[in-house]
Amino acid sequence: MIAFFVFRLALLIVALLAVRRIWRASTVQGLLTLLLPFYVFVAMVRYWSDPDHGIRWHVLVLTVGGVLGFFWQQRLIHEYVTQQAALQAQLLERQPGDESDADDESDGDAAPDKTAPRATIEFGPAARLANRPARSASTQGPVEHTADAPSARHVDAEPAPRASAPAPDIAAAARPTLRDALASATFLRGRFDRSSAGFALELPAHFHALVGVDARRIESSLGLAPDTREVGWVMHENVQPGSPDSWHVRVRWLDDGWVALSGSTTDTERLLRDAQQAPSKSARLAGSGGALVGYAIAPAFDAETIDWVEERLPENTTESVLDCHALRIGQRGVVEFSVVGVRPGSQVLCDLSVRLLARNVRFDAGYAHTADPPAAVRHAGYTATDLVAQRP
Amino acid sequence: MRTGMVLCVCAFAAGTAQGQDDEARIEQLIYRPASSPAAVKKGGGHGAAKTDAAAALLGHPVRVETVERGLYLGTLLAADGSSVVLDISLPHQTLPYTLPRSIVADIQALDAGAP
Repeated sequence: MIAFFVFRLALLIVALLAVRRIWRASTVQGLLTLLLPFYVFVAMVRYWSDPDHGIRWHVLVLTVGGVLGFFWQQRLIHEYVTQQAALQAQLLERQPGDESDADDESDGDAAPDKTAPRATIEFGPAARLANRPARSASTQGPVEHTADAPSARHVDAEPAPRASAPAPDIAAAARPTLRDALASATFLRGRFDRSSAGFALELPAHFHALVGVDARRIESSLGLAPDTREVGWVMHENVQPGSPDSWHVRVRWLDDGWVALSGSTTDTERLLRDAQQAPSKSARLAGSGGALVGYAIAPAFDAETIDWVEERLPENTTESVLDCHALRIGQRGVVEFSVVGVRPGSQVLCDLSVRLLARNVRFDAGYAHTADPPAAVRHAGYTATDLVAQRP
Repeated sequence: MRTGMVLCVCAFAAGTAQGQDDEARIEQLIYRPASSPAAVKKGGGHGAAKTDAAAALLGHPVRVETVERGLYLGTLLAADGSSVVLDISLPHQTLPYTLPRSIVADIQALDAGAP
């Protein structure tokens, strides 16, 4: 909002400068330009060839800025209206006693998505919704329709017995069902605020988000261990939650402290070699585990953002999967965006999605990354390159 | 002054354009209808030349780059017009791995010290 007002102020200054130039040529023309709407175009034509009083460039800037400002204003109005509707809807729908943290309670900045599917959802095997150890050989993934999309590439490893699903038990019977968890989830749009971590995520137009509480409830319904670093999920509006092709971006906050960016190697061959040959692997990032086959998209370093796609062979499987990662480095930690366990061939869509979200992170004042850590901020003990290579 | 104003407007437009490019591309990839299987690529002579160059690296450590900025390291076991087969060495296993030739952009030999 502040940026919008600054933008409008800049246009006002340009307009006043144009009026001043015309005023110097003729007081009457200056007054008419100031008072009459669109008379500026008459003045522009009148003084077109006059180098001292011409206002061609001023009019160009005002025209382009006016068009941009109009569409920007429309978007702000739309967001405000949906935010107000969301606040009222949340007050009505929030049940007492729900598990929530301060950020989930304050998600009034984001509007609930009324178009998200609810109780009539059909869903496939539970293990397909999110990736964890002991997955089956089947994979889900973004449905990327391209002419040259290769089929799933087979890794010619020894076939291993498929991991069996955990036997149901009394604890499983007490868990919410996936259908109930999805039905009670609220999809949010607009600004996804994480004030306790010092950042906010501007959700793109066709994406909506689930807060950490709803995401953990869904994971609980699948019998998965809770991820304490997960702050939410982001999904494309076209993806049906729980469908066989369902995929989502896991948003995680690695609050380990300041992470060094300078000195990070961009030698992708060395990164890959280090990641493959490491005797042990860190568990900082979400992932499929198993062996790293290669980079479907090699790491790209862009200021405070890093994105890449790994092709991995999970344990006890013969088909590789893709793990897509994007990191946004802040002063006190790293915001991680990961899509885990998608099928090969989806790397472009997957990488674009996580990279777009990483670039849409907005850090609060004092939380953006700095070249040197402030005295009050602890060091994470690893670099950005260590994260990419997943060194312990 | 005029140049500065125009540059400011262009910089603002460029900053928003990059994010919008990614968004537009995502929408294209999600909503594009599935196409029929790709026909045999033309320019078979050029493809034959590339296969010959790769054949000279058989048995050597290579790095394979794909058209989507992918990277794979391993020993080249086989390369023909349809696929490239690598032997990827990992700490606890060795993986024979097949890549479709259509996505391979370049195959280069690695240094002698590389695995």
